[in-house]
Amino acid sequence: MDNTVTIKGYSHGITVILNPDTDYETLKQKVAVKFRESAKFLGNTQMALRFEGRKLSGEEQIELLNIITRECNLNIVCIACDDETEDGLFVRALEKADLSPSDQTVSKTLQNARFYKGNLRSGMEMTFEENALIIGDVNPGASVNANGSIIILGSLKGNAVAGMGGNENAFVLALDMAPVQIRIAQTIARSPDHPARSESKEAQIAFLEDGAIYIEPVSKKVLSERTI
Amino acid sequence: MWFMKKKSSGDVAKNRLKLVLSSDKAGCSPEIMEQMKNEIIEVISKYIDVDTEGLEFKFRNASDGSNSLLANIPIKEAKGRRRY
Amino acid sequence: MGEVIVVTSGKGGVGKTTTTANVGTGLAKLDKKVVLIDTDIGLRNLDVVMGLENRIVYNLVDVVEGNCRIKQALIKDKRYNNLYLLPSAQTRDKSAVTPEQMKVLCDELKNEFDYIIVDCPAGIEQGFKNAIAGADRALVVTTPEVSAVRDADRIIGLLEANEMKKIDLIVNRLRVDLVKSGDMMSSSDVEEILAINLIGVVPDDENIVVSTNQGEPLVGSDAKAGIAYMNICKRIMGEDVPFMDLTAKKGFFSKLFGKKN
Repeated sequence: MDNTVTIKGYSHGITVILNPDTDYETLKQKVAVKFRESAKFLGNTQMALRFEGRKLSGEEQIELLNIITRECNLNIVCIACDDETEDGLFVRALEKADLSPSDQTVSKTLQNARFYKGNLRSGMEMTFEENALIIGDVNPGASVNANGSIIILGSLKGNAVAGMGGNENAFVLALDMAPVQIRIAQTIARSPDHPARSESKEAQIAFLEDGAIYIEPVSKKVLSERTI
Repeated sequence: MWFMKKKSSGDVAKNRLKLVLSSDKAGCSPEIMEQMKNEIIEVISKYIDVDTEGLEFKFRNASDGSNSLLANIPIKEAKGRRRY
Repeated sequence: MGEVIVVTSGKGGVGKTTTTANVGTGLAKLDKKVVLIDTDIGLRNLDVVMGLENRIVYNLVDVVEGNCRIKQALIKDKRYNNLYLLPSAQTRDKSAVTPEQMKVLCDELKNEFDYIIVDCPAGIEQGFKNAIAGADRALVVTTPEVSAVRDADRIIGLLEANEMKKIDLIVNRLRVDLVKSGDMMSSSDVEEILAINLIGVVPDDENIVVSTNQGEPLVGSDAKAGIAYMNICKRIMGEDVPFMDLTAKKGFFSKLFGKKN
């Protein structure tokens, strides 16, 4: 059996094991063949990818990655190397975002980054080119902006701007929905001046319908009406 | 006065502030102010008996922008003169 | 033609923002057309004290950068139609605005409003310079503490150096019981040290905490601080209002029999 290129799954994505003894040009062809064959099986999901078994230069990595993305529909979020731990994945993704907390003002555009883990504190503004998933809280005075939809696995107590570019189908979902403001496309909704203290904390979703923003508990029905 | 009244902390604050502010303005430290004060007293008390308790030193900003040092030195009694 | 008043202190935490909110609301209560400007870029507060944080769309930086018109950025108060807020930006820093831009902005607002109240950030850096740039007069807020008074003195010096035409003093958070026992400087002590006109004394009042929590300035209420702020507003407008007796107890009988001096 040809073991020049082997694809294996792991918790965060796939591992591509490369034979260290094959010459690089042959290896490139084998990678192309392998991924072309597996394209259907792999589908078009988002995942991390790491190379193992062979030391690759930065350029080689990029070249192989280009081959892979050309041959199949995978959406590679980040690359991890042989010698890195799994935490390295998140570190890489965050490095890409270039968020240094010492910055007086945090206002960056995250290209293609879809995940952010951590709390957004007052004065932080994070902009996503596509959909955003925040694992953490968005505090008062902070803002998440996205061209697509925003999902917050935590509390939304600040501002959320979904569908920045005018996408009226964008929505905002949060486990604890207590925003100062929500904007979807051109519509702005603000919190009531004397909010009633709701006892039960359930996930809620804000969406735009007939020019008004509605906030409802998350249900299968509501979700089925959304598109991403 | 039959008894010494203990200085209240409010007064202490006020006096400290006055000293700090005057040295802030003059650009010299409270230590130097204190030293200068003592030297001036020393010189003056060669000739007249001064009331060191009621002494007052401060800087004043005049409306024309100039600063001046004000020394208010109460005199007990001129030396060498006797009252009969 | 309106008047631009900057509220400043040097030291943080002495009540600039609370004073801005209450003086602004008080002047609006007295039928003046008022706009409040928060110049503390990066650390905005005035919007929450006024309870208007959920209405912010544009801010001061958007206005000076020309992203919107002034009118779009002005937020109308919940309770008074003649009171507006121009909020500061939370996600930028002080260098986003220059003193020249502030001056142009203030001059423009003067055509529309009777009073423009500028809430100044703590410190003497860029933010302070921005805040005082377009101001006609200043309210210097201090508490009767050595640290706050010393900083107020520095601020007064800087305001004088910048040729501020009128500088008035507000002594905030005065504890009458401590002044009586001699453990706090009195307002006249502070006035004597700083040697500028005292325009108001605001007693330490727990009602302020409540009003800040609710986002509704208490000026004009019958709480002592509410009365004190209203008196300051009247004095700003040129009325001669006697200083209230902070030692007097509230209530009918004490009004009749309480005063002895």
